[in-house]
Amino acid sequence: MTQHSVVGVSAPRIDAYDKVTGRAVYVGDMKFPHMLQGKVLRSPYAHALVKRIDTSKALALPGVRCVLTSKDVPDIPFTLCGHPLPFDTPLDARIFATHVRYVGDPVAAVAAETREIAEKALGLIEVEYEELPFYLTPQEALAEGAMEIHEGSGNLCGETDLAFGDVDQALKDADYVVEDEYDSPIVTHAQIEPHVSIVIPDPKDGRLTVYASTQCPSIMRERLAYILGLDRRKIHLIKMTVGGGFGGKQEPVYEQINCVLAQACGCPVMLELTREENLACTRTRHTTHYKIRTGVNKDGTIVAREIDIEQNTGAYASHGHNVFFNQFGQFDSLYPCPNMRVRGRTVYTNILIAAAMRGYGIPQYCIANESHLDHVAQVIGMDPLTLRQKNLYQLGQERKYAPPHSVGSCGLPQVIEEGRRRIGYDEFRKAPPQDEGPIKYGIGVALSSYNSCVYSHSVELSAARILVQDDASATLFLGCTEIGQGADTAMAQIAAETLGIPLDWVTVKEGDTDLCPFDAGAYASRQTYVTGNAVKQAALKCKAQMLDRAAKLLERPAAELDTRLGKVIDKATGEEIGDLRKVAEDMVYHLTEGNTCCHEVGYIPTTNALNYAATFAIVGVDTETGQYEVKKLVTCMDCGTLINPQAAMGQLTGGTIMCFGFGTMEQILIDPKTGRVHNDTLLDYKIPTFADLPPIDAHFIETVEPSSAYGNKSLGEPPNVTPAAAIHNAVCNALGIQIPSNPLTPERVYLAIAENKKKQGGV
Amino acid sequence: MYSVSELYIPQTLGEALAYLSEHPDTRPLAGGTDVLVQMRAKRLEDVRLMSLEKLPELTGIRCREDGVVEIGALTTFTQLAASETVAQRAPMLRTAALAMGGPQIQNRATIGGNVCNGATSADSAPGLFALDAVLVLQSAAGERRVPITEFYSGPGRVKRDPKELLLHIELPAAAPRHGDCYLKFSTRKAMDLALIGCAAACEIGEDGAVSKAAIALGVAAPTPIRASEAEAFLTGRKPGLEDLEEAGRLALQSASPRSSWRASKEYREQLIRTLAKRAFRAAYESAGGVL
Amino acid sequence: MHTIQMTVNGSLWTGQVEDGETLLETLRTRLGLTGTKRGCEVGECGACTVLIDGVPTTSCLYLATLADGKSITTIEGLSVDGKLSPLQQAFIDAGAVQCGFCTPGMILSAHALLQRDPHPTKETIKTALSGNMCRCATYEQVTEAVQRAAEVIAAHVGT
Repeated sequence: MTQHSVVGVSAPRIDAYDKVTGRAVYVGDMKFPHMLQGKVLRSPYAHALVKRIDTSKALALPGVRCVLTSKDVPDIPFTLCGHPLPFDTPLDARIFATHVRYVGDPVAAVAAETREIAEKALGLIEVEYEELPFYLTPQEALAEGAMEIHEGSGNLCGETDLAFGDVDQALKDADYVVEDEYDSPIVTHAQIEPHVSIVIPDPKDGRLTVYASTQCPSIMRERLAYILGLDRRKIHLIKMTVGGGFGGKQEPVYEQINCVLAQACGCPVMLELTREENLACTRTRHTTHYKIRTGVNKDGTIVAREIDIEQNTGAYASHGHNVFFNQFGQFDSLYPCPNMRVRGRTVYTNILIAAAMRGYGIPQYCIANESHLDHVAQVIGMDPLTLRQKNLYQLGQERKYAPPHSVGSCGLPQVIEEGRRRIGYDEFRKAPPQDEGPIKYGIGVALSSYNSCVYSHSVELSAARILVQDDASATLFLGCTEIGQGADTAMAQIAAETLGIPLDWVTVKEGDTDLCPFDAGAYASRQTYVTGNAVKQAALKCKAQMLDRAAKLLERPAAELDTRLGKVIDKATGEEIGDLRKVAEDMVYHLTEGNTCCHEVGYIPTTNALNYAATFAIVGVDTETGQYEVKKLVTCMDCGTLINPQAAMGQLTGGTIMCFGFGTMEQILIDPKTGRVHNDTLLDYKIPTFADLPPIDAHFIETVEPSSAYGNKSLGEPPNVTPAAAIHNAVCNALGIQIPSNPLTPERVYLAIAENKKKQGGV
Repeated sequence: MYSVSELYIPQTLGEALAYLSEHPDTRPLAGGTDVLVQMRAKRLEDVRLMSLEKLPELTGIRCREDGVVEIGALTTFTQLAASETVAQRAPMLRTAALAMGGPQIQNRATIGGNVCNGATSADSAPGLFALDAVLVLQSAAGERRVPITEFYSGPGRVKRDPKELLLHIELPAAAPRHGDCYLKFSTRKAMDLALIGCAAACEIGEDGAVSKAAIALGVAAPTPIRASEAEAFLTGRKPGLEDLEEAGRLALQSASPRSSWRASKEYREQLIRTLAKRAFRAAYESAGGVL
Repeated sequence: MHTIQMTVNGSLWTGQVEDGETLLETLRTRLGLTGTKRGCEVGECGACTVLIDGVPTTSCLYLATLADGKSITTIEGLSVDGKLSPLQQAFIDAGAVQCGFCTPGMILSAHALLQRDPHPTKETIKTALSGNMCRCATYEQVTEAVQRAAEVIAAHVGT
């Protein structure tokens, strides 16, 4: 491995100073003269037609500047999905609904001088609704005679049926066929920063400056222009510090409403959601029903795999069926099998909108599939880890079906071995701890693979522009976004490493669509993998130009020179022979040959590297209450080479804890009588607190991925995949039962124990 | 911005009581961690608030010569948890204080507010029920003493006259051999409400027989309750494991938990059985009893 | 309206506040101290935590009027002339910052902890910070940061 100076170093994050001093500016912190406050009027019904709206009383309230409904705004159907063009999900949304499809669907909005006045005005808008039957589950929505939520859809948002090999025959021939069903819950991003935007119209030409808390400035700009019927040049998107995204800020959520408010008022408007709106009316992970069948022989060879994935996308498609495709993409990457069938249906219902969330379908797929594999192992009497290893993808093996990308690096065997050793898997298996009163112990494992971008499913362009200044410092212009994951620092490290300058010579400007080149944005764990390449290539061009200049100054062939930490060095000996600052100065100020040094590179990946992870958990379950304690949680990951080990560890442990929440406590609960969200506070939507932390032992296995800038692969999302499944399997292992859903609240565990006892004919 | 018609800050107890007499629609504001949250959730408008911050009569924890412990209504959960007097008399109240919300809430929330708010899930309630605490209320008309077990009238409702203020809470003097325990069961270990809260207190004789048993439950009924059947069963016994199981079953007889989206009736019943058994066992053992 | 006088980060502030105004609103809108974040407005997330007379308090559940005569510390008050407090520095060094939205409140809770317990155990840290939610879940790194800061402060006091 090459010795690096900046890459691979745990450099402090470049945004940390501002964040620990309160100087970092989030959208909600900004103030503009005459800025108004926006508020959204939402449907109280899960499914209804708006028959009449009277806004006159609201408009008459002093301090109210405008009240808008569907008749006041462009009637352009659009998709909420935050993907680059072309649109890949149905154009089923409007700015305001006249046919409301979930509790919280916007029907009108107000801009007023204060939040309080705006809120009061909402109460003065009179809306007459005609209630319609509503459906909360795919089963209800697809039942015969169900009303269409979107005309012509049959309540199906997407459907796929793919088969490879001869599944039916293989299932017939298999020694055993094991079948399970599994339900994953609705969970939501719950970023601590609520969704917020400020829109400022330019009176000169109507151009809108949009300050947003977004993961995808380029896409947001395109989408807002489309929704508003404007030329794209009429939108200037500026991303501010983002207080957490996790996929929920990948798409327009309510920014389009803020745009029309600002247009109507002709002055700046801030639209900041309340916590309750954030939890009940923004975006979620798809609640999904799985049916999984596996044909397996006595020796543990899996001969056929079949999965039915039924996703509840809620009221609008948003990312819709794409989330199914991502699951399909991983279906054969870990446990390849000659015969497989994947069916997917994405169904409209009258619940809040499912969209992108950290892991994009894979956390729920993983927990369904990995708990099923434990069942398979139990049926054939094999150790669950042995069963997995027996059927595991091997580096060099052809990927037959799902996106046929080559695999350039695979640390799968190593992450398993490391995890096995750290948790003491074999010891536990040989001699499981004795029960302690009502406490029973169990061990579980889960494995995952994860893409590093969305190639070849969707557009994957990232660009980077590097301006080397006259002192050899560099300004990095990026469309790629820092949303808390550390992208700016990673990109700065890649730029500094490649240019051969110290990290603190790099300044990052990102997220301003007037200044920065196109980038699809922060999703799919793609940025370091894709944008990282763009940064490296742009830096290489700048470096070549600098070395040409250095060659002239030092009277040595450029090929004999290199750069390191701001110095020109002899490539062969590493000896410092010049000052890069002098080179840059000469480049700009040379009387006859002076030139600027600025290069931009757009990069599209040609493959899609896979991240691999293994998580092991040991739990102690209190069989009288169903409460359990995670005694040990070991998570090992191959995300290639680490750009910033400390920041990478933050992603790994943070994602592990988020996944712990998914597996053990988080769920949006909806009142079946009304379709309303019961738990729209952080008291009742339970994300893990400090006090809930399991003891985490997180570890990286570094590999070198040849298709990336510095050997790196995806990292942001995959930590949020395996931990829930490993804990789930450990609890089930302790109890010797299957629990076909999560989160594993103590109640769910206890009720499963009680049901099992009943089945066994016990008390 | 809360919708407040007036925020009145009396400087003396007399001013406070006079104001309450004049404006019985006033919501006394102690730590605000319940009142303000309710104002937001229920979208209450133009609420008249009276802050109790400046009233020294409502503060402090002291042990009187007769062994009775007085806890001022404005005692915060942080103060409650830090009090040696409380730890001596009823360590379970410290447990309850530390189980409530998170540190910032404990720094503001008061025991008086917790009681007067009338929630069956109030973390202080089961302990105070089990100890037969007495509430001392004051109005312009005079003082009134009410056992806490008679104070709650329904979910979110207590028998505080709108013109009264809770001054302090009295814990009766402890017997020589006493012990207690509070168990809170919640999904999260912080920032959570009890699905069931259970407090147990017991006094035992030289021989280890239970001379007084108290088991109190939160969220097991619309108000906090005492599990009198279980208490009667345990009184006079030198309990063994089987007896504890039976006490757990009997605790259920006093309870009427309901299903809500937070938890099912069936599950709450199991928690009542289990927590009653475990809390009493811990209380018995801390009193010096040996199973 | 009430006229109040409070000390904010060492400086006296006198002004009028509405009866229903929260300290969070006063700090953000009247004093421009936007380091104090609004995350839930019901005292659950902890992002708006400030120190009132040294005690961590969710400023969204605290009426500004009651701050009269009190001393308030916000995140802006921890660093002096751009020099970070040992705790702020430790948050940077331990990688305890991700999106940063919970960071100010988290640091203030930790600051108060170190004031009353200069050598907190991991368990003490977990308990003291359990009212500050971090969705990036940077909890492991925050724990390390608080421990590092404790060491730095102890070394400094020792000399």
